[in-house]
Amino acid sequence: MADMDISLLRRELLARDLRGIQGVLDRYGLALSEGEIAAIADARADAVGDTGRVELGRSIVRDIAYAFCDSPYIERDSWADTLCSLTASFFYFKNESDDLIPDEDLIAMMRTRFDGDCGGSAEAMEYMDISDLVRGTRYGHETDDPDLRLF
Amino acid sequence: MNEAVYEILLEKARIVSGDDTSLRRETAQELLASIAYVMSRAPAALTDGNVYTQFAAGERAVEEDVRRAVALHAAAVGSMADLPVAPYRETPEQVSVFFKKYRWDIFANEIPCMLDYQLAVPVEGAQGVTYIIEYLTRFIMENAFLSRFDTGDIVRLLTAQMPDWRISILNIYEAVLWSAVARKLAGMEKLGTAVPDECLDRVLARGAEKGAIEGAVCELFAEGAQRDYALVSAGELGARLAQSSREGLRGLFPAG
Repeated sequence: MADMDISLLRRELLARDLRGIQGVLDRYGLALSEGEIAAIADARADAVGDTGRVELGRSIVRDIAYAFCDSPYIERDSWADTLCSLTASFFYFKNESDDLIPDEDLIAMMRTRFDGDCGGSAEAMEYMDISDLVRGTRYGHETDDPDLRLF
Repeated sequence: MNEAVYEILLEKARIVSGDDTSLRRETAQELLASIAYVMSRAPAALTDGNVYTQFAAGERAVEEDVRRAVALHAAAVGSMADLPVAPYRETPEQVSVFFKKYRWDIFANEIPCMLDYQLAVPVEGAQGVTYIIEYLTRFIMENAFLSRFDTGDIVRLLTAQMPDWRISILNIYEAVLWSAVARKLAGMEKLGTAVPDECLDRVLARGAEKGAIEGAVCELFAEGAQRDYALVSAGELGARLAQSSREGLRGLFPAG
């Protein structure tokens, strides 16, 4: 079987994923240009590299875009930058949680904090600690369950 | 990266991370190392360039290796000498830990246990269950030799060599082998661990003769794997004798 350029494959998959939800994004006036998609792909690659992670299969960016597109704080002008910032925060939190919090739950908590404590600021989320993120959730309570722990 | 290997990596990552879309680079590297190890276990006849076939054959081989290792573990327990040396006695328990923790499906190359007891000839370069099989094979060979000796003689030898022998990780087999070889060099036929004072000069003299130590080992073992192992284990004895004085030999061999 042929060798593949994984990074190229990943960029193509990400672009395809984002184009796949353009219809949903468009409803909120947030459809992305090809240039923005390329910039998001670069930012994603940087974030993955900076946090010492690898993405396998599809990218999380699509899920983040889908989860945040209906936030009242999202603005069209800063949408691409916000996505880049949220993606970086997502990978940071994955490491900080020792991969114990599933992607879906992590994104849900990020959305709650984004709309709440962060007042719609992705930059504020960058300074958030994992313990602040999980506070008040089932991941933020003391428990005897060995699969959960207090962060 | 090979496309088939990437697909296998994705499959294994799903076992580790569920539906998550990313994992730590170290984890991905460990998974790749496991895949490489599994593929190395595939029979040569099946390495036809089809990665999926090779990987599947490798996984079957690893599963079979685990069954072999379980059988060897039982044999190892039955082979042990009745010696109150803690690291030695804990070896079967540590191998049990390996079986409990070993994930041949995702981290087949790992050895999730702490085998403190050192073999006379350590296993090097082996991974996963391959390491365990080789360790147990050598452990059983060593015990087979130890079983030829009176336990009291072995204890006297260990006591002469190290005050903390009950908790020592040093190899018992090598100590007994070297004593047995020394007795052969001294012309003593009966198996034992003691070397009387009057024999020490002869041990030193004969130990310096080319081929004498190998000859003594051959007298102790019939041709085969056990002899080959003993020859390697006795390899350092010549150098040790050359560096020792008559008095220094008392640190190696008890007087009796």
